[in-house]
Formats: sequence, structure tokens, C-alpha cells
Amino acid sequence: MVSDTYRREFLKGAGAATAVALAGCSGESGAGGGADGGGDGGTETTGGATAGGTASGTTTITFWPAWGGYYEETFNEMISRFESDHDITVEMSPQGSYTEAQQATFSAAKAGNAPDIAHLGKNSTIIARDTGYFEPIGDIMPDLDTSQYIGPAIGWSEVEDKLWSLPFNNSQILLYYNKNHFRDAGLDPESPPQTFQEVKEYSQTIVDEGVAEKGITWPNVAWWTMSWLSEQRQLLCDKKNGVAGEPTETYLASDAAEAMFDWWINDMSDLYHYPGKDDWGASETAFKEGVASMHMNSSGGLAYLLSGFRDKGIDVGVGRLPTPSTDHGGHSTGGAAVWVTDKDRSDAKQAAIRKFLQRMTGPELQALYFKNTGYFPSHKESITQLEEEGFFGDNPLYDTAFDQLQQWEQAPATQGIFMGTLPRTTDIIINQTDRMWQGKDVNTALNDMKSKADDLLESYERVSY
Amino acid sequence: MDVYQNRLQGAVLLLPTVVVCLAFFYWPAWETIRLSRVRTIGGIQKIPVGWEHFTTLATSGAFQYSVAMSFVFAFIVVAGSMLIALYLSYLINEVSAGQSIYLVAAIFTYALSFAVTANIMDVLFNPTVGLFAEVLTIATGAVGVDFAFDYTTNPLWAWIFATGSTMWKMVGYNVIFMVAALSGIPESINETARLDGVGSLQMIVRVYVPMISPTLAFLAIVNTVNAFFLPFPVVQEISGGPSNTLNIMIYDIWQSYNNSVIGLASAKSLVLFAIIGLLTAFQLLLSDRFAHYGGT
Amino acid sequence: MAGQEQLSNGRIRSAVDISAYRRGFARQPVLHLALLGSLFVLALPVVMTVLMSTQPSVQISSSTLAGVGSEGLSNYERVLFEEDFATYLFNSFVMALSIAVGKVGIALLAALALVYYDLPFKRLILLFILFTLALPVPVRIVPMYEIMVSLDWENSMIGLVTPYFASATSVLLLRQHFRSISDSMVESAKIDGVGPLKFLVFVLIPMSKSMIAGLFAIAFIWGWNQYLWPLIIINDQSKQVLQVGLAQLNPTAGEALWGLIMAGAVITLLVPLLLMIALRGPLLDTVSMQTK
Repeated sequence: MVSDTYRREFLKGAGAATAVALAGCSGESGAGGGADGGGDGGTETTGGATAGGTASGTTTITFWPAWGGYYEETFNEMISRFESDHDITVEMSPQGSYTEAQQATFSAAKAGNAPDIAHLGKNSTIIARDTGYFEPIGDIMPDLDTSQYIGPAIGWSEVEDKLWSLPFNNSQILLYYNKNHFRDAGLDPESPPQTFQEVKEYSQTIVDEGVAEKGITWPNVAWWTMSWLSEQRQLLCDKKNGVAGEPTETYLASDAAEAMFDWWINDMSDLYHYPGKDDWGASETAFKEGVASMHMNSSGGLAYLLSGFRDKGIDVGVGRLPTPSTDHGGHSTGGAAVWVTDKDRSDAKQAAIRKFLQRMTGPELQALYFKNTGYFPSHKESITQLEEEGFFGDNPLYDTAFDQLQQWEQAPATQGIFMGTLPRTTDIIINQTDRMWQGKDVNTALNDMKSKADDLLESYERVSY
Repeated sequence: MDVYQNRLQGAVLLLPTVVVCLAFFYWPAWETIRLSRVRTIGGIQKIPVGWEHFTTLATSGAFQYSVAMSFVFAFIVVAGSMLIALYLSYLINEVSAGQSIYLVAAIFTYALSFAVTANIMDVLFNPTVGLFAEVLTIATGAVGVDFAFDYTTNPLWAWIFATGSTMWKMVGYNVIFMVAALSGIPESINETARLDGVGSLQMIVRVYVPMISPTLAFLAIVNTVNAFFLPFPVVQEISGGPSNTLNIMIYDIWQSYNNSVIGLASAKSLVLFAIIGLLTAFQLLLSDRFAHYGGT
Repeated sequence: MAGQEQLSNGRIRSAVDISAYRRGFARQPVLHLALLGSLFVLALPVVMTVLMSTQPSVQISSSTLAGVGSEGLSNYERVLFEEDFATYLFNSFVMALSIAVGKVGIALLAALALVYYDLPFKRLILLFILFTLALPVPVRIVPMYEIMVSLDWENSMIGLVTPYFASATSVLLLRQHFRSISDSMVESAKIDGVGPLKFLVFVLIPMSKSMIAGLFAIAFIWGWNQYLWPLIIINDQSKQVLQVGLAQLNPTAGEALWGLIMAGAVITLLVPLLLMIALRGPLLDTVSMQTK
């Protein structure tokens, strides 16, 4: 259990290092200190009101978050706090999922009816940039100090030295486990498995003791592949995951990929419950129903999942993402970022948008979002606030999530993946994984995965700005 | 007969229909043809590629699979739903009391949508929470059969789920037509056959089916055309099934649209259109042979 | 031979035809049983849906036996008011009604023109309309969206319903029906110098009531059950229709609430089902006209 100050310093340092590295390239100021420099951290009161007021009255901006449902209440809360401090109305229209958000936003933008602020999954970074529908945040807010954001979050937002988006919700993969089952199987409920080998052993014990049908379950979604490659410090594609230029090939058939899939498909074949393609819900249900004793899911679902599991009487424990070995490379955060669409706007509107972005990614609202959902706050000051409140002490499970985030090291493999074909590549990964579960040989499937993904890369052309 | 000579008036009366047809049928179809000859990136950048998409599709094993599966799927659901409907229609036609109530009960699936069908079947057949799935598992378990009633991992079961749900939904429509057609058969034939001691099955196969064959031919074509795209929600419900075994054309096209690969998606939908167009033309020709569309 | 008689068609049958008698005696009950059995199986999914809609979602996932559940109507309350189904219900109703009225209305005008006006190229026009049957929604959907946008109709009710206003089958059926109206009726109208609209309203429509009711029912049910187009054109949840709303109750991320979904399904299927039952006479007649 690492002390709070260390955690804060670490993330600040990592973020600062990132900022320095990026600043060096782009000539931006903001190196080192002055973390709260340029853009004010967020809790503005009087400053904002005067600038935002227009003679004609309320300015309205439109925002399309990727989901409603459980998260809608929190979005509403965040928005009303923002609105109460400004003469700005925010019209919100939840989309449903990252795919739907991308589809809807692109269609609307093409039709000239885009929302002012879009909310897109991080996988869409390059393709969104290349559509030309969006205005880089770096252009809208040139004085923004990106070092105020945590390293793992801001990584996805910069492409070729330009800041395109701002991280809004950030997550990593966590292990959720059923302490009751652990006790029944004779396993220590306070020490969840940390490596692939341990997961296998624990699962075997659970199944042998007849405690559950299977040891573990998690959804067939490309995020696991991406994260496990990162943890093994393996790039997904060349050109440093697309940071140094347009990628031309993927490494989906690498040794690291093989190690990962060999364990998943072969070693765990009788110990893992396969919930079908792209189905988070089926996996969650299997864990809730006791079909499996362990479950992996997003940290962004912490609040929602924990309450659901507890309703079922499960004594939930949370552990970090198990990795192939004890050497953790760390994995970049998943989640989504906010983008601003490229439209002709009045100065008042543009100012309103700036304020909205700063506030929504600022300390107060990011901390609120974290508490309600489990998504890591993008802003470093949020973490300070939460520590001061004693939140982590009161909520040890959230603490575990943070410990894992701390292990993040900045490296090409953990920065983010910059491929315009990423959304379609994830489909390929999901489909081939599915086929492996139907009996397809791992090596053949990985080679097919690679060749299909490479074909996509070949037909894609990144836009140069 | 031409009562009114004012051609302008006539044109005005036709205008709304013609405008809608032009604006929402013909122009979009034309645009789709245009779009099928470009490659899009992110749905916006457009690079003209001529007929490249079509050559890609022609040589794509995955697309060929998609087309073939669409036909297989259509065949199964059409044959299945028509057989079930024929059985029900025969019974309704033969029964001497309560016909109108039975009829309403038999056609109720006509009022449902495929979206509703997909949702309720999913809940009932869901491997984790579905009642039917559980009952079937227990039942087959008792007999010692170990079959995975899981449409997320078992392709056969996924097919049964998709075709079964679609067949079920299509029964209502077919019964409407078949009962109407059967009721048009003169009673005397019934009498004679019964007196002759002709069995029910023989009756159906040797007498009824030939007598309502125009209706059956019509239904076969219309059902086939519908089977190519209406069951979309059912296939979407199971995300195409394990290993994308149910990747029928309409689902495949939807995937392409969702991935913003508009050019390729348009090319695929043109192929779908060609198939449906041929089937529809065939149906129109066939019904012209069997029926009269009021001549000139 | 004693005990035999000759039928009018020349066949001989014995005075007491035992097999026929036996068959006739047992036949009806067997038919009824078969019908009741098969119809029960056919209706089973919907029966289950109704039952499950009264159960709490937690209970369903433990898959207890079917039976009226403990939740009663609370799932309905929740789905209507917390999940906005009341709004979707209203939107679906407006949509289906507009489509039905629009389709039938415009088809009446078109059929009037095609049958009673001296127009050139009638066959061509008819084919022009008929051919649209071969152009299903998937083939047109992306450009249709763009047209709506350029008209500023996307995300609006008017954009949602106008593409459905043209109906080749309605035009065809009405045309056929009008042609079957006796010439004498038309003659007298001609002699009286009745204007076209008066003719339509006071002669044609009254003579086509059943067909119009049937077409209305068909169009309403069709419009109510549309899924793909509303999914694409409506962005705003407050304008969304039931079919899409129902699909959204069953998300891929997070667990689905089965009791709620079933309640939503019942709400979604209820209106067209009731309409079908109410207008079943005209509907059955009109639908089967398509083969004549």
C-alpha cells in the first residue's frame, strides 16, 4: 500500500515528464512546474461568469456523450453544476455506445449538424482526426497546460505533436473476484492472483473443489489483447504504435500475442467461461450467477458493478489485471475523450466550449465522475482532492485500481495506439478470438488476424495536416 | 374508363406518389450506385476506384459465404414457415366451428415486428437466463443427450435460434393468404374426396396444394425477398452468431456501414438489390401468368 | 346390389360407409385438439413474455418456473416513466398514424388519376411505381439520410415518415378495385359532371371502405414495426420510437434487465395486435387481394 503523497508525486512527475517530452517537440511552454499554469484547473467562479456573459442571453452548446443509462445521472449532475456557474445551457443527447457515438457523430458532422462537443472512444483517435470534422483542442485552447492531466490519460490525445482531444473518462482492466468462493475453495480471499500462472492454479482449485463451474470469465473484447500486449511491452503496430508515423504492419502474431492467446485458449480452455463475442453483459451475468468465481472488467464500471454484485450477496474483492509474468509494463487507459467539432461559431460559443471543456476535465468534476463511476479522473488535482477527503481510505477497492494505474510507465507500448483502422481492427481481433473458441488453432488465427489487420492498414491513408 | 380529361389535374394527383418515389427511392438508389464506385475513409474522404469494390466482392470468400448463407437462410425460413402455415391453414379450413377465433390466433405474428421477435426470443433462449434454454437443457439432460443450447458458442444452435424465430414470425402472414386461398376451394371437392376415402395428407398434397399453387408461388417469392433483409434484428441480436456463421448479407452490409466503409457497403447493397430485383421481377412475371392484373 | 347406391357422379358407395362415418365422428374433435395444441405452441413465446414482464429481473435470471410474478405491473410503470417508453409510445403512434394516413391518402389520389384520367404513358407510370418494390431500405439508406439532412428534416417526425408515403401495393390494389367498380356508377358520375374530388369522396371511397380500412391497418402495422430507418434518422431520444427504444433496453455493455425488457416488448406489440384484431376483416380481405 503506497502512501498518498507518493502516488500524487508519481503521477505529477509522470505527467510532467510527458509534458516536457511533448513540449520539447512542439515548442509549447509549460515544462516542469506551474502545473496549474495556462488553463485554470477548473473550479472557476467569478472569472468565468464575466467572460461568458453575452448581451443576447444564454449561449447554448450541444454535447453528445457516448452513453446514458447508469451514467446519465452523473452527466446531468456535472452539467448542472457547470450551468449554475455560467450563463450557458448544455444540451445533452446520449448515444448508447462508443460505436454508436462514432457513427452518429460522423454522420451528423457530414450533414453539417454535428454536436459542438463529441465524446468518442479512444480507439477512434486517428480516424476522427482524419475525417476533418474536428478542430484540434490545441488550436482552440493554445494556452492549455496538458501537464495538469495524468500521464496515462493524456497520452491518447496527442497526435504528431498536436493536441486533438481531452481525456474525459479513463479506465484500466481490473480483476473482480468472489471472496466467498475463494474461502470455499480454500484460497486466501485477500490475495487475488497476479499472474497468468496463478489465475490458472486458482481456477483449477476452484473447479476441482466444485465451487463453481469455471474459474474466471471476461468479455471477448479487443481491449484485453491490447492491454496484455502493452503489459508485455509489445507494440501492437510499427512506428511505435503509430506515434512516429503511419503504421504499415501489426504485431498481432508476435510472441507476446502467442503467449497471451496460448494461455487463454489452451491453458484455460476448461477453466474459462466464454460469454460470446463482444458481450460484456453475458460475462457479468455469469460472474453474478456464480458460474465463474473471477471476472475481469473495466475500472470504469467499479461503482456500477460493485453495487450489482453486492445485490447478489457476493463479497467482492478487487485485484489488478493479472499479467503473463510478475513484470508489469503497465497498460494505457481505455475510455474516451471529448472532441470539438469544426464549425463556424460565434466567439461567445467558442468561449462557452472552452469553459465547458476545462470544467468537465477539471479537478472537481473529474473527482465527482470518479466517485460515481470508478473511471480515473483525468486531472491530477482530483486525486489530491480525493486523498484529502480520505476517499481512498474509505474505499479500499478503489484504491487497488489506483495502485495499478501507478504502475504505468511511459513507453511507446503504453501510450496509446494510433491506427486509423483501429476500430475495424478490434472487430478482426474479436472475430478471430471467437473462432479460436470454436476450435480454430491459435497460430493460424493469429496469422489471419495479422494479415487481415495489415490489409486494412494498407488501404488506409492517414491525413497529413 | 377515362372520365376526366384534364391531364394537368391528373398529373397533380399523381404528383405526391411520384415525388416520393423519385426522392426516396430512385435518387437514393442512383446515389448508392455512385457511392459504390468510391472508397471512403472515415466516411468522408472519397477516392474514386471504379469497379474495384465489385471485383473485390466477386473474389472475396467471405462475401461469397455471405451470399450463399443468405440463400440457405431464406430457403430454410421460407420452407419452414410455409409448411407450418399450411398445416395451420388446413386445420382452420377443415374445422367446422370457431374458425374466426382460430384464424386470429394463427395470424397474430403478423402484427409483431422482427425487433420485438428478436428481443423476446433472446430472453427466452438466452444461455444464461433463458427459460426455454434451461428447460431444454434439463429435458435433454434427462435423456442423456449433452447438447449445448448456447447460441454464443454453438453455431448449430445459433442457426436454430435465428431460423426458428424468423419462421415463427413469418407464419402469420402466410396463414392469412393460405386460409383465404383454401376457402376459395369449392366445397364439392372436399365432399367427393372424403367420400372416396382420401386421407388428409393425400388431400393436402394431391388436391389442395395444386389448387392454391398460385398463392403458394406468390408467397414463396415474397417470403424469400423478405427473408433477405427483414430478419436483420434477429441476426443482430446474436451479433452474427459464433464465428459469424449467420453473416447474411443484410448483417454484413450493416457492419460495413457501422465501420464507415460506405463505398464498400454501397457496393454490397447493390448486389443485394440485384438479387432482390431479380426475385421480384420473377414474382411479377409468375403472378402475371397465374392471375390477371386487369389487362391493359 | 343391396346396400349400395349410385351417386350422381356415377360412383358407387355402400349404404353404410363405415370409414367415412368413423372419420367424421372423431374428426372434428381431433382437428380442434390439433389446432389448440399448435396454436398454444405458437403463442407460447408471447404468453411467456407477458408472464415474465410481471417478474423482477433478478428472479428471471435465476430462471424460476413460469408464473405470474411478484412485480405485477411495476415493471410497466418503470419502463413507461423511467425508461421513457411513454414518450416512445406517443412517437410510435404519431409515426404509424401519419404513415397510414399518408400512404392511403396519396395512393387514393394516384389510383384516381390512373384509372379515371386520360393520361399518357399510364403503363410506364405504373411500372415506375411498381419498381420501387424492388428497392428495399438497405439499398437506399445512406443517401436517404443525406436528403433529409439537406432538407433539414433529419431527427424530425416529418423526415421519419415521408419516405413511407409512397406505396406501390396500395396504388396497385386500389387501382384494381376501382376498375372493378361497375361502369354504370361511373357513367352517371360522368353525366352529372361530378368533379374528381367529389367523385373520390362521395363515390369511390364509400365503395372501397373495406379496402381502405384494410390498407390503413396494413400501413399502420408496417409503420409501427419499422426499425432500421428510425434507428438511423432519429438521434434525439425524446423523438425515438418504440422499436428502437426496446432494442436499447438490451445493451451489450452491462447487464440487461429481463423483466423490464419483456414489459417493454408487451407495450410495443400491443397496439398493432389490437388493431389487427379490430380490423381483421378488412385486413384479411385486403391482404389476400394481392394474389388475385
